[in-house]
Parts: sequence; structure tokens; C-alpha cells
Amino acid sequence: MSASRPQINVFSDTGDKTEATVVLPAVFKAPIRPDVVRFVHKNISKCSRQPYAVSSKAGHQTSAESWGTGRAVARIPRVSGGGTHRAGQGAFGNMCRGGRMFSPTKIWRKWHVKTNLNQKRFAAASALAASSIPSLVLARGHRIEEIEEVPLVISDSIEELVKTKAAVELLKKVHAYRDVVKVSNSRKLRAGKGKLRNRRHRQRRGPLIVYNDDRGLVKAFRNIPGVELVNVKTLNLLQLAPGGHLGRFIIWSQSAFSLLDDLFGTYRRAAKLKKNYRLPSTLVSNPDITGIINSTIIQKVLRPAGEKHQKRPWAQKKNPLRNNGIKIRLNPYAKVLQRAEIIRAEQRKAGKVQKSKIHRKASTKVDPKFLQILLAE
Amino acid sequence: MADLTWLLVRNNNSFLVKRNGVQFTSEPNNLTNTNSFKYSGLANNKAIGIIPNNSSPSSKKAKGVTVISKKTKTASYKPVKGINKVNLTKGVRKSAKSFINSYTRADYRPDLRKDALARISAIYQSQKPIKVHIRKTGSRHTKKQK
Repeated sequence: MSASRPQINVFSDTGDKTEATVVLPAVFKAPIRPDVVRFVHKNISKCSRQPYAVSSKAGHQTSAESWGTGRAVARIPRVSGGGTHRAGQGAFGNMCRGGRMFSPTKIWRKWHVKTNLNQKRFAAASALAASSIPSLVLARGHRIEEIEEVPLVISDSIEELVKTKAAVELLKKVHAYRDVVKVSNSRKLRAGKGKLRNRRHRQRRGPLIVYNDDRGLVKAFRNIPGVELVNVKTLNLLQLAPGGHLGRFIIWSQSAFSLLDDLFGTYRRAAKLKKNYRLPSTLVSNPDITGIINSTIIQKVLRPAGEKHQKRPWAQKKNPLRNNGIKIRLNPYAKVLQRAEIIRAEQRKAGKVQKSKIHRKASTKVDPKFLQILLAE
Repeated sequence: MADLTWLLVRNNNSFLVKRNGVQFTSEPNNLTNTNSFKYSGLANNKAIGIIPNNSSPSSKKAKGVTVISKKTKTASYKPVKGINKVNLTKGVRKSAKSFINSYTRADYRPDLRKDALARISAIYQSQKPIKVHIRKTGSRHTKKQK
């Protein structure tokens, strides 16, 4: 989709003026592939898992042995001894109370999954492309109805912000604060044990702020609910497409935005900051399929549409072997055969044609001369 | 772009409401709240939304409807500027007529005419003051109601 790339305005940190314009980096024209993003996201997110397992001793801390046959009980190992309820109960088996689980989990399970580098880059490019389409950002749940432009680019003075108060002011100026309000309103107590494990609350994700050089903005922004910050050079799919869902609302600083062409390259040249990387090419260069179908170029060469013909689905089905009309519709030659049959019958009646003679089979007798030659020594 | 957006959005978006075996969508600019390409306010380049008019919050009475439409000539990446809002407040018939003249006859989504008119009149219906029927009391009336 190396289509025309629009000029994107760079807004001042007061939000009302445009300070400059930047050509939309080519990454934003990369193919949007939710399947690739979901797959890569799934694999990447597996790489930060903590191993867990049941105790390796669980269910085996007893000296149970089977009673063998002849006692009219199952041959499962049973706890020895007496004087307690536990004595005589089944042990070890996964079907037993107090037994070990089936196939006990081990900490040496394969927790991490390797993802191919090119796939990771494809997914990142794809997620970035999706972040530049307002419909997709809206569909992810971000409140961007009042934003001037998507992608939202702000001059580099955003990187110099030090105070959170100023940061909030800026977000309000560019109408991005609604998304933060959404996050604060969504804060809920987590269901389940996660509450006890330092995951007390859950909340939506707000805007992602991408910067090039941290001159204070990280500390200014990091306490605003839902806001995340990341350096352009360390863009991460987990932040670009949280949950594997495309369309994160991203606020760029100008220098971060203009670095994207060096990071991902364009369709004309390879990426400068990555080794051997070119943007993935698109299968369909123009995604406006209905536009193509309705274009004069296509319509010109098409046959004009026929009349609307609808089969009557409620009509009774006719048997073509009995119903001559239906039979002829299915097999037009049947009419010719029938006609020939009638004519022949008439001729026979008039005595013009005798009944055909019975054809004898040709003789299979072998010529004796041939036999002589065949059997000659 | 519309076709691609629809494919990306149709099965998974934040506006989907799946409940009791039916599927609806709560997205803006969707006239029937059904999740289909025709009515999708997210996917279509041209879409119409009709909501109750609350432009003057000082007067408590909400009156008329607001017709929202997507602009086609503004670049699609400008969310605020890409939307046009018109208030129609002069009653159902006049609003309907003005809607048809400025959208359907102007060849802006003529296929949505019927649904749009239905929504306009439904909103007007909802804005009518609720008639309070005072329950008649007295032995004659209470007896009848039994």
C-alpha cells in the first residue's frame, strides 16, 4: 500500500497551533494483519511467565502399599497401619482423595516461546498501521472522538515536561484527557486471588506516549491513570496492541514520529536502525474493493446484468421421468428421440419398414490357413 | 478502506453487545444498532447517526433530533473535523422532509432512508410529554377494575 502519504500536523503543546507538518511514515501503510498480531502477541506474552508447579512430594508422603487380590477391595495402594481414619484408605492414585494429581505439573515446563524476529517486526508494523485509523482506535475502546488528528503528533516540547500538572493540562488541550477519564472510571477491584498478589485493581488502558528523548516527560506522565510511556527505539507489541487487539491510541513526540522512517524503513529503502529489514508488502494495494468493482474501468468490460430471475422455491417438485415437460427441459434431445419413435411407428404401420432382421454375430471361426502358419514349426 | 475496516472490526470491537443470544452494537452512527456492514458507523465511509437533540442543556426539554453524518471530503484521519451535525427540531414531518432532502435526495446513503425516518419518529415519540392518567377513585370505578 505505497499509496500517497498525507501530511500530518505537529501540534504545539498548547494543542491549538500546528507547528510543522511531517509526512506520514511508511510504517503506517503496512498491511494490517490481526492474525499475525494475535499470534505474535500470544507468544511474546508467554515470555514473562513465572513457573509454577505442585509440590513434587504432594500425594507421595505415605508408605501405602497394595493389599493385593483376595481382600475384595481394589488393588490401589492403601495406607498401612491402624488407629486413624487414614489407615486403609487409597493413596497415590489421581483418583484417590489425598493422592497426587494426574501428571503433576513441573517447573521445567516450556514456559517461553521463541518468536521469529521478522514476525515480531511485522506485528509491530501492523499494530502501528492500525493505530493510525480512527475507526480501529475507536473500536478498541479509546475515546478519541474529539482528537484533531490520528496519529496525534505533538512538538518536542512535550519531552521537556516535568510536572504532572502540566502533563494533564497538555492532555486536556489536545482533547486526549477523555481517554484518561475513561481509565479512572473503569478502575475496579479485581475478582479472585489476584487481589492478594499485588494485582489489586484492574483498569482500561489509556494513551501510549512515544518519545524519543526523555527530558522529564516519563516522570511527568507516569502517574496519570492508564498512560504508558515508551521510547520509539524500544516499541513493544504488548503496548502497541494490548491483549492482541489492534488500534492503541498513541501520542507521538515529533522527533519520535519522524524517527519511524529510519526505524522501519520505507517502501523505497530498507530500515536504517534495523539490520536487513524491509516493510512487509501488501497483497492488495487498494483496499477499497467496492470502489474498484464500481469503477468505470471494471464496469465497462462487464456484460450488462440480466433480468432478475428468482426460482419459485415453493413450487411442487415434478418427476422428470413421468412429467414430459420437465424431462424435455432437462434433456432437450428426449424430444428428438420421441419424435423419431413416433415416425418409425407410423411407417411400420404403413408397412413401409419391415421389422429389422436379427443381426447374427460375426463368425469367430479361425481360418485354417492362419492356424497352419501359427502352429508351423 | 471501508471493506478492510469492516473485516477488522466485525468480530471484535468494544461496542459489541452480545446478550441472550442476540448481538447488537452500541457504536455511534449506527441507525439500527445491528452489527452489519450496512449499518456500521465504524466501517462505512458514509454513515448516518441520529440521536436526540440535547444542544441546549439549559432548557430541560430535549426537542428534536441531531443528525450526524461522516464527511467524505475531509481526510478520514481527522476525527473531529470529519463529522457533520445538524439539528432538526421542527417536528416529525418537517424533520423527516428536511432529512430526505438533504441526505437521501443528495445521494448520501439513500439506502438508509427508511431506518433513519423510523429513528427520527421514534425519538420524537419518546420526547412527548407522558400523559398521566389519573386513576378515578370511587366505588363505581374500583368495582369495574376488579
